[in-house]
This record gives sequence, structure tokens and C-alpha cells, in this order.
Amino acid sequence: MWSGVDACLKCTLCITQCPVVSVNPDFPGPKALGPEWYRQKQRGGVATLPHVDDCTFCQLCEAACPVEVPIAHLIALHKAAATPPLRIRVRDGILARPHRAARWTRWAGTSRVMRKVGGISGKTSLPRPRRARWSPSSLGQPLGPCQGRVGLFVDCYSAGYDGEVVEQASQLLTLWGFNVTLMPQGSHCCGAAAYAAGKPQLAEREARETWSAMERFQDVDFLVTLNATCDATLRDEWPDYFGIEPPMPVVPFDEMALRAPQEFWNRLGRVSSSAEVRIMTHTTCRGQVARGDGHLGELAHRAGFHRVEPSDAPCCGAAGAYAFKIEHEDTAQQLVARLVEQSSHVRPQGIFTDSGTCALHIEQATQVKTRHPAYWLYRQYLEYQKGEAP
Amino acid sequence: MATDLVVVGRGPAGLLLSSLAVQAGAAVSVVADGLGTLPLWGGQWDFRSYDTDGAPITDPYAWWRAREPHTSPPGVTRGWLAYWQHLAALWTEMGIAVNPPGPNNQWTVTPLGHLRPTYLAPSWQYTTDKPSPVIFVGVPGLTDFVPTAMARVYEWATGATAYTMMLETPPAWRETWNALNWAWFLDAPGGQEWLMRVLRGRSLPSEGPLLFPQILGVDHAQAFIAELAKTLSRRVAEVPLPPVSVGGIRVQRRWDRWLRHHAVPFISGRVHRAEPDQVVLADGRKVTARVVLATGGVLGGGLLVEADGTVRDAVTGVAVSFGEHDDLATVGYLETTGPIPVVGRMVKGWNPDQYGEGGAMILSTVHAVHQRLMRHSLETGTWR
Amino acid sequence: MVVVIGGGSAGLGVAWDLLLRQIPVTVVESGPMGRGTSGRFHGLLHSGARYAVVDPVSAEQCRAENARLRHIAPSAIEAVEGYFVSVDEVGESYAQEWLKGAAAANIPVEEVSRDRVLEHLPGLTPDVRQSFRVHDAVLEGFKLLEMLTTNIRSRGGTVLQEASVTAVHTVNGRVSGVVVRADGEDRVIPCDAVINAGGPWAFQVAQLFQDHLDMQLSSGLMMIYANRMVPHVVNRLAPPGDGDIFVPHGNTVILGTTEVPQNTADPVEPTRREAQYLQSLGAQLFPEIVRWRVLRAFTGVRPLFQGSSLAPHSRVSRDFTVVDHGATVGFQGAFSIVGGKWTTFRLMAERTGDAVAAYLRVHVPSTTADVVLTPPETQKRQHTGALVCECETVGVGDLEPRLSEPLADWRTRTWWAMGPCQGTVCAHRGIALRIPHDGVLAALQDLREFRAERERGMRPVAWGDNARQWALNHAVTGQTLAEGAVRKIGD
Repeated sequence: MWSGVDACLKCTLCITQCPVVSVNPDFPGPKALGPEWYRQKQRGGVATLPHVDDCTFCQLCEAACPVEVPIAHLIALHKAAATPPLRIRVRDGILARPHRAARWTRWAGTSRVMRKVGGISGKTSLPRPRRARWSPSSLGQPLGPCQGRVGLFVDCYSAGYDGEVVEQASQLLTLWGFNVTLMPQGSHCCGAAAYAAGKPQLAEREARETWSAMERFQDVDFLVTLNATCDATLRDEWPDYFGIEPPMPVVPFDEMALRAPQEFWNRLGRVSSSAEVRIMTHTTCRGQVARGDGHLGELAHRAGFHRVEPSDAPCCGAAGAYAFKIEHEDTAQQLVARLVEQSSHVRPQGIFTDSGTCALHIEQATQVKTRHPAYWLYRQYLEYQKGEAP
Repeated sequence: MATDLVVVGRGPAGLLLSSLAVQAGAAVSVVADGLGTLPLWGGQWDFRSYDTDGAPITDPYAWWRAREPHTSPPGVTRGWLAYWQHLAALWTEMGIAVNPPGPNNQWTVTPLGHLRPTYLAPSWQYTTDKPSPVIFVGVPGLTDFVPTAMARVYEWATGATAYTMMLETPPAWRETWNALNWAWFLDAPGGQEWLMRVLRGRSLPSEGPLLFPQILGVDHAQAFIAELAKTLSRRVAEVPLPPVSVGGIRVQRRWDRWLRHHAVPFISGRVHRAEPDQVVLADGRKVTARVVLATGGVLGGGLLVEADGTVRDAVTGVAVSFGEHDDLATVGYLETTGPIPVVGRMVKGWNPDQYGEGGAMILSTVHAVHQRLMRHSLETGTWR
Repeated sequence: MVVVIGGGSAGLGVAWDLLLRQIPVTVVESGPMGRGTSGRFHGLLHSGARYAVVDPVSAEQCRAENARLRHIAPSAIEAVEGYFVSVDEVGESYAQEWLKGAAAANIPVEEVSRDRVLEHLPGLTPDVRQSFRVHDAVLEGFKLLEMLTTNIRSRGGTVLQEASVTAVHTVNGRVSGVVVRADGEDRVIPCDAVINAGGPWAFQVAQLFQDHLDMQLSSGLMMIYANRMVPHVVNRLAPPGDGDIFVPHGNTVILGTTEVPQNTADPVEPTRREAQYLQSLGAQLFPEIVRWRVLRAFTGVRPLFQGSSLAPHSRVSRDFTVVDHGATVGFQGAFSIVGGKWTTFRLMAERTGDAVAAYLRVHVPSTTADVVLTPPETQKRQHTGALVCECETVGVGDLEPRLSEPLADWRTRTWWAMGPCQGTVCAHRGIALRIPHDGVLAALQDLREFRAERERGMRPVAWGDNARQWALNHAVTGQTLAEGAVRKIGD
């Protein structure tokens, strides 16, 4: 078993940071659902608590815990011990395999009735497939000498629904002097969705398959991720819970971007029209936990946006497939409401966020264009090119 | 990222030092393994609340001055009033109104109904310069705040009358609700209206402020308390509770937001190695800048206690105390002037929990190190 | 009427035995129930296997009593499995002798494969060589004490708490009554016999009979780990020694024990060094123990009997002794029961009851082996209400019906403030419930004593995460609750 599993001090710091507690009066909170449930379970015969499935697996509770109790992972075990109705199990079985869902299942356009039967939220509209494809660079020659070879991790969401961002990121990386390989090829998932849905064993199986698919890429120096949840899963769950080390170091795109050549930033700095554009940044919950909060703001600044407002919301409520599930639709809407309120004061023209599902959810709620930083940097660079064109 | 200062830890000491450096024009990064322990406290900052016999001290500075000069922390007896006023101004800027600091302690009420002195407290907390009749307002299910018991203790301790009343429960209420659930409820649409309606329907005793457990909202508490006071034509305030401590959460949220707005990145991760000019995180990331440790004491995790009684700094591995004969409550750093400065309340030889001077220790160590950094930046011409 | 001095397992046991023989009894306990050895043990219901070699008589007694207690007090026994495991050559070579001893005492022993024992006991050292399953189980001492108390009361017996016997009156050399002091007042209870069941304090009580009991007291250290990391009783298969028993207890597990001679009957405060020593022994069975969250350490005092110095006595077993002070010093009608262990408490009570009944010429045999104890009503928890103790899920509904009980009983009967936080977040909540009932001064005094008692258990094991719990406790009680400064304004 994991270390720290018995260490709970009852200090309640986890409760104070839990976004679901703040909007759902029925949610028992991380302390009761995680360490306290586990302690009772060791004695045997304890039932699962209602609303355990309302946990978004954002892991802010774990980040808050001073003694490293794996609170969210205990809650995932707790979820695994609960048995929801069959139709929900079927649905969760599909959503826990987002790479397959993205390939074969067409959710968008599903009727209201069918959604209800299938346990799919009617309040969150579903993404439309936009497959990732490879296209040659349109940004011009690299800005400097070759910086090495990177693998761009094509997560299942980007692969199925946001091919654009894969393309933009790979072109930016190429511009910065990296040789880019898309990884892993084929249909794979890091396991994040399955873990969040209380299927840790499925998550591990998926992770191992993905690891095997990636292991073949021998000469890659870094793996660059486009989604904070995948990033955190590769860097945290893989070694700590599955016992597998990613075959190469994992770096999120936004931190990779900070290594872009100075010339790139100089060029973006020449885009004069951006200085007065108001931007909000939202670092996803898993990103905050795994790496921290503030790089998106730094990127926005460097990209020439000088009116940047960081989001106050700890979790937008999208949480992978969470917001798509009918029983979570209210919680998901209440979680994003904080962003909506802030955005109504700030009136941003764009929102930076480091996850595709979060972007989808936030954009729907705020009606503000919400995209991955790769999109914004790419767009700014095109602006620069337009300005330079004769 | 260009950083002038990297502060390790995001408890009150780390946030305060970061804020002072930001105000001085430095680019600051905060590195922390966790989200800090601020939400464990109600938010009041104490100076010196008790003497060595446990008797309350009303004029902490006079008491402090009357003692033999203590070698540490440096600066505690110089500029103290300016430090407090600076903190009060900083908090006000962040949106935390404070009961104004003066030369004397104020009395405040504990969840068991007795009085204790405190120095600087956010305005939501009840403080007074002399005990007078009060009304304790309980809410069902909140076992931290039992008005009947508090009233008995309060009357015994002060001789002043304590009235009690219990509120009913709103329809959304659940038996498992703690203070934070109440606070979120009162922040959400309909919550404040519900409480206002309930209170308007009650006949209140003619005298005394209305004292609630600390539940009156997280984000909107200050405005709501003011509105309640206006509507009910009397003072309304809260009594801070043990964890879950809503006051600390309010302070944390405002403070974090202020720093984020001043472009301070919060970097998550455990510091594996610290040098005076660089920290290396466990996963290999590096942040290069002047380093200050604000990692806390035994509770915060900055000091680790080993089975044989050795106490070590969690980051540097340096042993700060040995053996079981030392009083664990008073282990800490001897000074703030080492190669990597340390700030916080873990000053060797002091027991901030016993004497109620954790706030003073944080202020004085933070200001001492801040002044040192300022001198350094002037000499080297760094910081923007 | 028989007065029994001492409200531990021996005293309540003999009172129950006499009541079933139609002899009226009054138990006088100077503190809360089980404040001595009965409340400070590891919770092991012995199968007898532990004594198979060193003490065959005890082994045989334990085997028989184990089965009887499962019959008469099932709700106080958690029927987990018991294992003996050898982890080195010493254990392996001891196994032969041990198996022979177990067979001689009719103690069932079943060999278990290595794979199976590792599956049933996660975290057990992979060095395990042999393992055997026995009928060890968990005896919930406080629950059984409460059950005895309520059964005694419901059969017309009297149990007085916070009361002490200050003198024994005689007429013609025979016991005629005792002086009981309670709430600062003395009163005489007429009686025909008095039984000293004072446990480690028995030699002091015996002075009331002008006799001298020569006792050898020894202190045993135990450590409680915050979670139930071991699901069954685990004994190290080796000659009985220090740190060789793990007993799961509720949500926790207890590691016992040591044996250090001591002079006083009051339990001593454990030290960090002893706790480290005990844990190092435990690590030989469960190596990960160094990373388990410790909760507290405590000591219990074993009252071993050496003899009554003034006259010969009959030793019932190596384990416990019934002293007839009429025979030793001519103090007719005074008896002492000394030594023993929880598992054999019923047998001790029966033997003592035999002696006392014979003295009183009551010819009714003991029936304690057959009469099933009725669980108290309050053990059947209904609705707990708002939570007070979050660690052990104790609510207002569990605590309010028991407000008239002394704080210590309130605690041991509900398990309030017994969990990992050791009262950090719930002590003041519990005390707040008691303030209207007990009054301000008494309740706050109780709170101070409670904190001091928790501190004694936490400080020696304040390392790792437990040190942080200790620090959180100090921060909350010192600052938010400011308990150290409770006083009147102007005091």
C-alpha cells in the first residue's frame, strides 16, 4: 500500500481547498470520503458513502495535505467500491476510455432523451470531433539551432476533438528549434479518466499500454504534454501508483514555451494590437497541483498581452468527463460559476487554459474564447507574420 | 523566468515576506509543497498575550521592553509598531479590514467562552477593550460552538451577562455540515437572505453584540457582517473556531489573489536541495534566485522530528536540536542570519503557542530578513 | 453483604460471581472503572499458546477461559484470528517444544502456509519461516467492564465510583463493615466479608487488614498505531519476551509489551527511548512499522504476587493467588485476589468466590461460566447526531445520554477523543456538552486533566507525523482555544 495512507492528522486543510465542498452541500468532503472511510474500511464491513462519485479528482486535497495522505486516490478506491446503476456503469465504462470514445462514439448531436438515458448531461454541450493531423510548418524556418528532439504527447481529447492544437503546438515547437514527433501513435490513454472514474486497475492497464507504445520512441529527449491532467498523470500516477516511469522526462507545453528562443518573444512583442487585449488565465487544478500556478500569466505577458488577470477558481468543474455526466451537471455548472462571475467583471477577450476539456467547459459558460496557450501563441505569431508581410 | 527572490513555503511568513519584496519591486516566486497552513487559524495575529505564568498581558510592548533584552529575533523591540501598521495596511489593500492595532491588546472570545488577549485581528472577529454583555448565536450541528456552555464560562470569567440563542436550520442544511459548509451556504445565492429573514423574526436582547461562530461566508463575509450590523442596529462579529477555520481561508484567498495579481507564480513541488541562490525541486526543476525558507516548524513540516528526538530542517537537513531533553515546543532556529535565511515563528527558545506571540515572531523575522535583502539589493543594484 | 475493593476485571468479576451465588455485593472503586491494569492492557484474549512452554497451568486455564468468555460475553470479543510466526532460527527451534506444550494443554494449533499468512497479514516480514493459527482473539476490556457493571447493577448489586475504603471494622476478629469515603464524607457499610481486588494497589489495600502482600510490580509499555494495520492477532513464535504481540483494536493496532520492574502502583510515563526500543522489536515482525502513524504510548502495571510475608499461603497457580487473611494474620473475612490476567479473570473470580462463599457458609456453586452477560442498552447505538469526535464517529447522541458518567468512563465507553487526533479537534466540543451539566470549574478541570493525560501518551512518540499531530494539538489548544490561560478576568 502507499505510504502516508494512515497519516491523517484530522487538520481539515483538505476540506478547506476542496472545490466541490464549496458548491455542493451534500458532498461529505475529502476527509470523510478518503482517510476516514479508509480507516473504517480496514476494520471491515464499512459501506460506501453517498456522493463519493461527486469528487472531481482534482487532487487539490492531496496538495493541501501536510502529511501526504493520498486523499484523492483513497477516494478513487472508495468510488471503485461503490456500485452505481447499470446504465451509469455502462456510461462510465465508455467515458473511462476516452481514447476509444473519441474514435467511435459520436456524442455531439445526441438527443436530449438519449442523453438522459445514457446519463449524459444536457447542460454541457459535447465536443465535436476534430481529428489531429500532421501538416508541414507554415511558420517558417526555425529561429535557432536545433534544440533537440521532442515527442508531443497527443492525448485522447486532443486526438479526437482538438486536432488544431496539436498542429499549432507542433509547429511552434518546430519554430523554436525542436524536432517534433507525435506520440504515442495509435489509440491510447494515459489512464487519467479511468482513475478519476474510480477504475484504478483499468487506468493502470491503459497506462501500461501507452507506455509500451511510447517506449518505441528511442531518441526523444522530452515528452511535451498539451493537457495538464495527462501531464500530471504521467508524472505522478505513473511512477507513484502504477510503478512505471515515463520513458523520457515529461514537460508541459507552457513550461516548454518558456524555453522558446528570445527572438520568438521579440517578434511577438512587435504585435502592437495585443497590449490592450484583456486576457484571463486559468491553470487547471491538476496543473496547479503538479507544477504550480502562474506560468500561463507569464506566457501571456511574453506573448504581448499586458492586461492579464489570473483566475480565482480552483477547479472549473470540467474535470475530464465529469461535467458530461448527468449527475454532476449542477456541480460542474456551480464550479464554473466562479469563473463566469470573474469574467463578467474582467470582460476578457480570451482565456488561456491548459486543458482541452476545461477550455470547452469554460468557453461554454463564459462565452469567451478559451484555448490552450499553444493556440494563443500560434495566433500571435501569425499576427506578427501578417504585420511583417509586405 | 527572471526571479529576484524565491520564497520556500506559503504560510503566513512566506506570504508576508513575498508581499514585502513585491512592494519593494522584486520579482518573487513562491515554491511550496502544499498549500500552506493558513486555513488552520482564525486569522488573528498575536503579539504577546500571556506572561510566563500564563497571566494575560494587556500591554505587550511594555512587557517586552521590561524584560532583559533577548538576543533573538533581531529587531523585535525596534520598529514593532511600524511593522504592525504595515501589516494592517497590507491587509486592507488586500480587502481584509482590520481592527486597528494600537499600543494595547484587545480581548477576544474563544469557542469555550473565555476571554483572551489578542493584538491584531481582522474586523470580522470580535474584539473589545472591556468585557460587556454579549449574545452568543449558535447554529444546530456545530459542536464547536455551544452557546449555553460558552455563556456559563463567559459569565463565570467576566461577571458580564451572556445571552444565548439558537438559529433554526435552512432547508439545504445537512447534519454533517461544519463551519465551512455554513460559510459556503451563506455565500451562495439565497443564504444571506435566509439568515437575515431568520434574524428579523427574532426578538433580540436589548443589549450586547451578536456573536456568531465563524461561519458568515468566505468571499462575502465582510460586507454581509456590515449589512447585518446595519439592519439589526448593533455590532455583529464572529468568534474564530478551531479548524476548519473560515477566517484563515478568507485570509489565504485574498492573500493568494493579491500575490497572483502582482505576477507572483506559485510553483508546486518539494524542495530537494536549497542553496543560498538556488532551489532544486525533487523532480529536477530549478529556480535560481536568492532563497529564503519560510517552511514552518514541526506543524508546517519545515522541521522534522526523528524517532530519537533529533529535529532536522526538512529542506537543508541541518539538525536544529538534539535529544529528548529539549522541549519540543521550543525547538527552532537560533537566528535568521544564516547563509539561507529562515523566517517564521519557530524561533529557538520561544513557545509561541504558550505565550501567544506567533504573530510577533513572524513579523519580526520577516522584517529582519526583508531589511537584509533590501540592503543586499541596494548594494548589488538588483531588483527592479 | 460483601464489599469488593477495586473496579477492575478481578473486582467486578468476583462481585458478579458472588451475586450469582445470591450473595449481595458492593463494589467500591476509587476512580473510573478499569483505571488500573484492566484498562491498560493490549486487549489480547489468550488462546493459551503463549504460555504453552513456560506456564502449562496458565496455558490450560487460558484455553478453557477463552472458550467460556466467547460464550458469556460475545459482544466484548472480536473473533479475529491469532497467528504465531517464527522469523528466525530461535523461533524455528522453539517451535518443536512449543507444539508439544500446546498439544499437552489441548490448545488447537494449525500450521498455515507462508503464502497464506502473507496474504492474511499484509506487511508481515518476508523473513517469516513458520506460522500457526491459534484461537487468540481481541478482548475489548472497557466494554466487558461496562457489561459487568451494568449486569451487577441490574441484579441488585451496588457499584460505587470515585469512592474509597478507608477502614475495615471487625467484631471479634471478623469483618463487620467498612468505612467508605465519597465526596469528602465517610459512611459505614456493614458487611460480612471484604475482598481486596486492588490490582497493583493490592498491597496498600492489604494494610487495612494489617497484612503485608509482597508484590513484584512491573511496568509494560504498549504503543497504539493510528490505523488497523494488522487485521489479526500476531505473536512472535519464540520464548515470551518484549515487543512480540500485535493486537488489532477497533480502528487501531496495539504493539506490546515490555517488562520493567517498578516500585509504584501508578503507571509511569513512557519515555521516547523505551518507545523506540519497543518499535524496533515490532519492526522484526512488521518492518514497515517505522512508517506507520503512531498514536500514543501507554504503560500498564502488572501486579505479580510474591507472597504474604507473615504466613504461608496457597498458590492457586503461577498466575494468580487468592489470599485468605484469616489464615495469614487472623483477619477473618478478608481476602485478597492478586495477579492474574484478563483472559482468566472469570476463573480468578470463581476461585475467590469459592473461598468467600465457603467462609460465609453459602453452598452455591459458581455459575459464571454459564450465565451469559447481557450487553448494556447503550452499546446498541441508535442515532449519533452531530459529530463531536470525527476520528471515532462519536456524536452528540452517543454522549448526551451519558452525561452523568465521569469523564474517563464517558471516554472509554463511547471512544470519544480516543482516535488519531487525540482530542485536538473534539476535546473542547465534548467538554462544552458537559459544562451545563458539571459546572464550569469541574468541566474545565476535567479538560486540563484530559489534555495532560493525552500529552503524556503523545510526547514520547512525537516523531514523524505524530510529532505534527502533537504540534497541531499545541497550536489549537494554545492559540485558538487558549486553554492554558483559562482564568477569571482579574485573577
